[in-house]
Parts: sequence; C-alpha cells; structure tokens
Amino acid sequence: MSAVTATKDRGWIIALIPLGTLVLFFVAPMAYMAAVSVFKNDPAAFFKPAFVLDNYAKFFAPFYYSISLRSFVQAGLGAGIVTLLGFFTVLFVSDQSRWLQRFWVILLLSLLCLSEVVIAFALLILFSQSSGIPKLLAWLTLWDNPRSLYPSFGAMMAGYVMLGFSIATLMLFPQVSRRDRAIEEAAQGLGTAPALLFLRVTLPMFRTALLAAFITLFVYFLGVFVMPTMLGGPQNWNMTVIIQDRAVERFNMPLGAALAMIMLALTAVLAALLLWLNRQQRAEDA
Amino acid sequence: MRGLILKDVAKSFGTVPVLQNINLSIQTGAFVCLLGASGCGKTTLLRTIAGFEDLAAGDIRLDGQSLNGVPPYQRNIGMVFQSLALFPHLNVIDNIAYGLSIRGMGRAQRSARAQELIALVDLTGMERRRVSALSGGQKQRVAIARALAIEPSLFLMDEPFSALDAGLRERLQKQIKQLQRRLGVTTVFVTHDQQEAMTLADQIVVMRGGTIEQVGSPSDIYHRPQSRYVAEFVGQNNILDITVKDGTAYWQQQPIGPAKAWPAQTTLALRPEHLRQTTNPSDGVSGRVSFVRQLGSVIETQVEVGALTLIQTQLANTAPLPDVGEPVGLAFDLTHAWELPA
Repeated sequence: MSAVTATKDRGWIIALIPLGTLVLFFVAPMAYMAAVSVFKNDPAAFFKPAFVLDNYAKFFAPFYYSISLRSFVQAGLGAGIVTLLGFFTVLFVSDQSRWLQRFWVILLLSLLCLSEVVIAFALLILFSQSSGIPKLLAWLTLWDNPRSLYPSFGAMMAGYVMLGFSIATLMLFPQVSRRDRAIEEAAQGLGTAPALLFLRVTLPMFRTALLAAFITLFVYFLGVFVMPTMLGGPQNWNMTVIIQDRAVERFNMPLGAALAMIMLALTAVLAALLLWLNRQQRAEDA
Repeated sequence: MRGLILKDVAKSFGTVPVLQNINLSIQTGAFVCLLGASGCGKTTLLRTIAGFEDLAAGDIRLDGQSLNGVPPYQRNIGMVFQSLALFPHLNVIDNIAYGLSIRGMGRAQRSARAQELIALVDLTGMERRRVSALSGGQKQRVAIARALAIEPSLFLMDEPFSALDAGLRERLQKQIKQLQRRLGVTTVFVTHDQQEAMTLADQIVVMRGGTIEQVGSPSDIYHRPQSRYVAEFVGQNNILDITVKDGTAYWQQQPIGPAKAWPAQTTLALRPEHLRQTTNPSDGVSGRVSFVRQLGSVIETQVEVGALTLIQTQLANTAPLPDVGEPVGLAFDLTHAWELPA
C-alpha cells in the first residue's frame, strides 16, 4: 500500500475530531433544545416529555413578537453603526505608517480581551450621575440639572459599539489595508470628486466584506445579554433577556427553548436574505 | 501652444529630490515614452502630470492651460495604472462607462460610447463579464478603453504591460500603437523596457536620477546618444576611450581604423553590430571569447581584450559559433562610431 493510499484510508479518523466537536458542542445542545421546545412545562420538574406546540404559539402574542422585532431593530442598528464606524476607522488606520498600523491592531486586539460585563460596568460608571460624564458637564457648568445617562437606548448602543468595534475593525482590516490605492486614484482621474469617491467607489468595493461584518455583528448583538440588562433598562430589553427570564427566572424551560428556536430561525432567514440580496446585486453587476 | 509643456518641474519626497529641472515639450498627438531604470522618477513625473503628486516647483501646461493646482478629477487626463486599478465591483461595460456616468452622460449615450470602445479594443461579447474573470490581456484592454472613453486631452500609461508575457506584450504594443494613431490622442507612456520604448514612441525621454538625460526620436537615442549613460542604457554599446594620431584611431594602444574629425582624445560609442570577427589580427584587436549566446537570429559574443570586454553581434548562420576561451580578432567599423559629448 502506498503512503498516499494509507493517508487517504486514515483520513476519516482525522475527520472524526471536527465532526465530534460539532456534534458535542453544537448539534447535541441544539437537538436537545429543539426537543425541549415541544415539551410540556412542569413547574415541579422543569418539563415533561411531550409533543405540544403551545410554546411556539405563545410567540405570536404581541408581547413576544414586539420584543423580537425590537431585538432585530436594536441588533441591526448596532451592527450598522459599528460596521460603518469600523470601516471609517480601518480606512484611516490603513493609510497610516506600518508602525502606527501595528499599534492600532494591537490596541484593537487588546479590546477583545474586555468582557461584556467589564465594558458594561465601565460605561455604567461613565454615564452615572455621581461620577461620570453628567458630573463632569455639571462641573464645567454645561449642564444645570445633571442626571444619570443610563438606563437608556443611547447608553445601550454605546455598549454595543464598544463591544463590537474591535470585531468589526479586525474583520475589515485585512481587506481594506490590502486595497489597491490606485483604484481610488483611477476614479479621481476619471472625474470623481473626492466627495463622491467614497460613495461611488470605496463603499461599493467593500460591499461583501461590509455585509459579512454586518451579519456577524447582527447575530452577535441579538445574543447580547448584559448590555440591555445593565445599560438599556426594561424598556430596551431584547429577546435574549426575555428568554433568560422565562427559562431561568420563571422555570419555563420549554417556552425559553421555543423562543430561542424561533429567534434562531428568524436570524437564519434574515442572514440568508441579506446574502441572497448581495448575490442578486453581484449578478446584476455582472 | 497645444500639447503638453513641462517647465522647470521639480518634486521632492521629504528632503529627497525625485524630479529636478524637468523641461519637456510634447506636441499634440505624439506618442512619448519616458524611459529609465527603476527609481529614476519616470512614474513620479507621470503622476505629477496626472495631478496625483504636487509640484515643488515649475509649471505644467496642457493645451495652453496651466494644470498647477488643478485637482486630478478636473484635468481630463486618462491614465492606465501599472496595477490597472479596474473597479472590482463593476463589470466590463460599467468599468468603461464609469467616467461617462460621472460626467452625467445619459444611460443610452454612454452605453453606445462604451460599446464603441469595447469593439475598438476587441472585447465584444464580454460586456457583462466581471473584471476578475478576465485574462491579463483582456484586463489591460478594459483599462485602456476606460481611460479613452472620456476622450482625454492626454493619455498616460504607467508600465501597463510589465506583468504580461512576452508574446502578449508584443501584441498589445502593436494594438496600442495602432489605437493611438487612429485616435490621435497625445500619449505619455512610462517604461523601463528600451525595446518597448523603441517600438512605441515617436519621441523617447531618457530619464536618470530625476532628470532628463536626453529627448529624441528612437533613432536619435539609438544612434546618437548624448551621454555615456544613454549609450549604455539604450541597447548594448561598446564605449571606447580612444586617442587619435595621424588620422588613425587607437584603442588600447592598437590601431582600430581611420578616424573622423575627432579630437586627440575622445570617447566613442560603437554598437555591437559594427564589430566584426576576423581571423586577421592586423584588421583590428585580438582578444579571447568569454561568453557566447544565441539570441534567435543573432549571435552575441563577448570578447575580453586585456581587462576590458567588447560585445559583438552577428547574424546567426553567417559564421560558426565561437567557443569560449577561443582567441579571436575584432575589426571595428568606425564609420558608424558616435562620438560621445565630453
């Protein structure tokens, strides 16, 4: 038997490692959650195996679908803001010297070390009436009646930005930094004024990369728990907080599982829709 | 005056001067090649004309209008970049029509103009193809068509064929020359390839260290170089420091032929094709073959004469290929020798 054939024969053993990881950490929990979502709730024992669709039906109550809609809007808005901010930052950084680029990348990587709780707590202090921005503005006599800036939608969005900023920039950096600067010069030579250059050339050139960053952040922000809880307040709670509340606080695992399954399906549909739209656009271009 | 005029153009990067005292006049419709080694400033000069680099001093005029301070997007100059810089998010026809759409031309009109150019560069049937799906030569032609679509007052090309294989490069050189003749657009073409410059140019500008070394027709540059650098850079040349005595030229203390009206001591440039191998030592100088190579229809022989090396070429099949180490005589045809300015 040749060495090549022997390696091919043993290939399936190597494939077992990722397959096993996938089954253990993704397929099994998902399958179990899917199963629990059709079980009956039993306050005494969490749930009883059954096949009921009541948990799914509850989603169509105004409370749940309005919160899920809010979750999508919040995640979409957050992802949009962070993607654009990240894009502008990367455009700026990629035009700096090698040394400065390295400095920025290290800084952004170090931001990734900060957990959601740490970021939320830092912002909580910054926005608090007693020690943060309001106090500073009052001291500068710019704000007569200072009050805490959280909980609020703005505080929560600030949290989203801080949380996702390094992810967006690090996702976009490789493509943007390797871009051919001559493309922008060519556009200028063909008559594009600097004001139009960004919209006509730079932005469309990175459409797919921006969409990938947006979808990644969108999915990530849908699952954010600490930001809405600590900085957003009840009026800004998203579906993740509600699922946690139903499953853990109110001991209704089947309802929590059903809501999570619906969110998963909706997210997948939205992401697929965005990718399909991008593909359609590319096909139109071609 | 119509055409491109550069007057005392200078440019520095920080404290390093990259262009100095550039004076050049290019007539409308001419095809000019900027020729020079890497780092001589030819691309910087091209970018300065296009407006992508600021001038430190001097004046650039196009058809009588000063371009100083005019931003690139208002110059109406079409440029083909070394990397081609095609828009990756647009297909072939949209790349070509881009400049027209920026100028506010209607969809039907710009589509017709783009189709015209597509036919001109022989890309018919590829209008909807993504640029990433094109071959190197097709990309080149899209870049050329895109730059020409705006009917530029000046057409600039920055080593556009440097990444192509020899066969394709030759085909595109012919096409671009024919296209330029047909459209009559003033063209400045940057290259480090002297053969390319010879093929394409009406006028060659040889650059060295940020300055212009010589401007002239390909024939002038080849046969009448104005400096030792040009003589050695453009094609191969034998540079001979000679002495003249009693109407005879001496090189390495050996008579090499009748002198023209040269001073007692001077430097000559003699092309390799004007040396002839001989078996009679009294015809010229004798040396030893140090290197031989066959270049298709021509054989190049390098002959060591003392500490110096001469290059001689002859048509293949006119004489047997000499062996390395073989003693050989070289006769000089000084009627073709060109005296280099001191």
